[in-house]
Amino acid sequence: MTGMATPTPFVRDLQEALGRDAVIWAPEDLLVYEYDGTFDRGAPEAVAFPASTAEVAAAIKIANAYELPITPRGAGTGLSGGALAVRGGLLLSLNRMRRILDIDPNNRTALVEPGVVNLDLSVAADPYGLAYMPDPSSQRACTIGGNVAENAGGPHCLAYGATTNHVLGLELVTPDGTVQWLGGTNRERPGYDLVGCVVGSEGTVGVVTKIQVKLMPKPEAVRTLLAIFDSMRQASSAVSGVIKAGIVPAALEMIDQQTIAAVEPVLHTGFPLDAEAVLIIEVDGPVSQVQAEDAIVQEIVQSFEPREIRVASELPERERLWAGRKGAISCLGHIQPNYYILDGVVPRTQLPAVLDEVAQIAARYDVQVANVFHAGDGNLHPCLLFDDRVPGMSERVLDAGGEIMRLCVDAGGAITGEHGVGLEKRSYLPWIFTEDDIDAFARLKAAFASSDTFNPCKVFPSGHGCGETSSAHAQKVIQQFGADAYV
Amino acid sequence: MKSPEASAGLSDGAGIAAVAAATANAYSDTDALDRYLVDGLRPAIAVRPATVEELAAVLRAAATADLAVVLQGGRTATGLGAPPTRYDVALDTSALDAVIDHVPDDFTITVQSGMRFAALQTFLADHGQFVPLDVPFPDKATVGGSVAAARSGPRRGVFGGPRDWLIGCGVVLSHGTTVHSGGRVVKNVSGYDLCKLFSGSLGTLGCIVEATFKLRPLPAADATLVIPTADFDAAIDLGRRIALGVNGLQSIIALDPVSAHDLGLGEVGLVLRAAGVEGAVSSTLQLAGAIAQADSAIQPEPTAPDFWQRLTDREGTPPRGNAVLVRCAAPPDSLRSATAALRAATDQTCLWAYADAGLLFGRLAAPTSALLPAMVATARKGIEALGGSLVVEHAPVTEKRAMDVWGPAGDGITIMRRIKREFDPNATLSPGRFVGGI
Repeated sequence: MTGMATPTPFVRDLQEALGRDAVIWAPEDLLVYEYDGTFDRGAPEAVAFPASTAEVAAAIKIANAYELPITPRGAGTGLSGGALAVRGGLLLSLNRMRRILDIDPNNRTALVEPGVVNLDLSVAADPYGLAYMPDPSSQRACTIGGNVAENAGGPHCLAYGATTNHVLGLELVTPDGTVQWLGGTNRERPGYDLVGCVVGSEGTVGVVTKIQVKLMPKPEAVRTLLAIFDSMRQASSAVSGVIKAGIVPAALEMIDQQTIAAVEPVLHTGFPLDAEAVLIIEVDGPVSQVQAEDAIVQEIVQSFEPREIRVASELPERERLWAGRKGAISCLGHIQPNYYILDGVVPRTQLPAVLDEVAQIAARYDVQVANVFHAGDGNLHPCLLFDDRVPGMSERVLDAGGEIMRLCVDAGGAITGEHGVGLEKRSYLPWIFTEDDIDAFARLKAAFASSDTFNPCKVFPSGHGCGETSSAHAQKVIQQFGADAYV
Repeated sequence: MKSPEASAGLSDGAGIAAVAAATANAYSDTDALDRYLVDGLRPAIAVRPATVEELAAVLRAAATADLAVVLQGGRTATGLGAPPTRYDVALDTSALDAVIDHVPDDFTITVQSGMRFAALQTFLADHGQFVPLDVPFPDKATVGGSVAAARSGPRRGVFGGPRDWLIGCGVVLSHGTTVHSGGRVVKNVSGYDLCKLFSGSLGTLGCIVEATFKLRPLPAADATLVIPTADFDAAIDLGRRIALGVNGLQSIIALDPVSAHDLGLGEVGLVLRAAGVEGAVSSTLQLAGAIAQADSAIQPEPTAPDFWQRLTDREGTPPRGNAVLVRCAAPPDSLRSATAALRAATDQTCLWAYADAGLLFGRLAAPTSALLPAMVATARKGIEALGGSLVVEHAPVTEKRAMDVWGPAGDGITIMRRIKREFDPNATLSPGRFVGGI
């Protein structure tokens, strides 16, 4: 029985520093920590659950003493393999550090620990009429620490910006285990913008143990439109139409027929099953502004001949629409047992053409595709639906995914809008960056970390501290679609 | 007064010649070099490359000869930073002023860094768009310089700074390699975000040659309301109440009597700006007015058409006489205390504040210039006690050498020094100009 195994000296040191119940090491207990939301997996030697900054620093120093890799992990909802311990070693779970330390309504800031769930912060700020604006679809589960690592977005970052626009200060434990405060309660601190460098660095330059964020007043009025289209092309043209008219909606999301078919039977949102696509368009702000913008948006959308525009101004209707949008991905499992969610981004004028191409690629590989995404930002999330028990299916899906990524790059876009490069897409990095660019990234990393053992095999292509381990599928895609830089 | 000196006296004449050979636009006559003084120092050579390739060749030649380069655009922020410890080459980016790519319907633009900020805004205005940053003296200031100096202005509380709008950049590093970060899409987490690193780095890590911004639509309506108050403290108090009580304002500016007078207003008070769709702007200002009514009967005052630009320009205007210009940031609800801290350092102040953002600007004068360093130290101590920071934006050169213009950079200084070493190992770019002697 594996339970009878004895802990290694590394595990014993961790237990001594953090307490026995704060360390998992038996292989059967480690199983759930081998996965996140992606294809890949990686087994750590131990998972530690520090309860304080000091314990994080202690755990890092112990792993360093044994020259073992360290991988930080939040809720494990990431979709690029960022939280996988691909080289084994220590997996540092921040889930026990989940206190909201301060909400300062006068200065509109909050200080939180990394394990605080995204939505819980907005709930806590609500009595003050404030909210934390970045709202990833996984906001009921994902944590602020993970959001910081990935520079998480969400539907409302169209108007409010992504995580990086909302983080003012950080407490960082560096890869060598020293604790530092970066930034502060405003952006005016003299010096390089280290906070801006850490946010979105995908947990490769240290572990964030406290986060000072901006809170914003909840909008006085919100109106959500549901525009129903008989043609995907008309829907995506309407998106361009709204953007080009100079309106900045709070959110502008698209959901296609395949997704509606998955969502409706489960969530009963009211999306018509026979529509080719629906748009959720939200405007918010002072009452008079919302009234004016709502009228303009309706007029623009009307010119793209939707079947119908429904207006939701009451909270329950709006919540129902958003439940449908944010719960969409999890409903896709009702169509096929597996899905592979992509995260590409293209200039917004390219949306109609790129969506057509995505459909063609899916057809060519004979893979079902569902689209549910942040149309206003040009941030696509084609979900490839499949059954991995069908021989050869997983490979086909990965190939189709690679081709869709390449399509985004060819359209002038990028390989990830919000999910991160992580483990999954590091081989694609040379599609948009030169060796010199990637070398500059490495210089920045080197300023934070002197060794290669901190969160290895993430962001950087093979060879940057990760030796040969590029996954087989990525190698194949690179061979198929070229490894040349697109700069 | 100290006369301009060439700091390159010991430097290699061959190195200077190599720099000159790298570009068609090189100047070494005294008259030309006097246009490139930085903190009273005169370079040995000034270059104004016509292409990015020339610029890279200049940096490569300078690095090879170990010559110090100070990057300059419109020279509107050369007062910022400590005097450079070495200064051989003035690198003027203003010839690189092309629009590289603008797809109006994407709401993004890519330009070369030497483009004047006003030229960028004029170009965009034809398409009903703008970059929501206000910079002092935009007719002269360049895009690259504004990003490097992290310029923004009275709408900072709402729109943030260059770091919030720069979505892609091309940068020539000190050894002549060009690197890119970001892209031309509005949402992007591919690779590290070097746009953040170079924004506000004051030309100490590389020369920004290309910048991509996301854009905003020009508002249909843009209106200003002036509310007279009893004094500056009352203006701040009212500004804070309005900041917490009214959403949708873009600027909440408190002016002391001297500032108000300079800007052509009759009285001390609060100036509000709202912009957006037609009906919303007037009702936002009405809401703010209603909060103010409790204090005093509002008598709206007209503002000059260039009021907001003149206010912005003050952020970059050197004060006259024995005085410094300081920029203080503090938690917004401590602005009153921040004001008191500056007044405790000297009784000769001219102050104005962005009440929503927690920013306080001050021209602080002393009876003699020799007293300035001690005055700045006292003021900084008071601001830091509130959890804030104070940066000296302008000071007479001699006294500047006797003060820390930046103040402490905090815990991050170790990593900042390592970043400098990684990106500019021989410290050829603006040595000594940044925080902690970087």
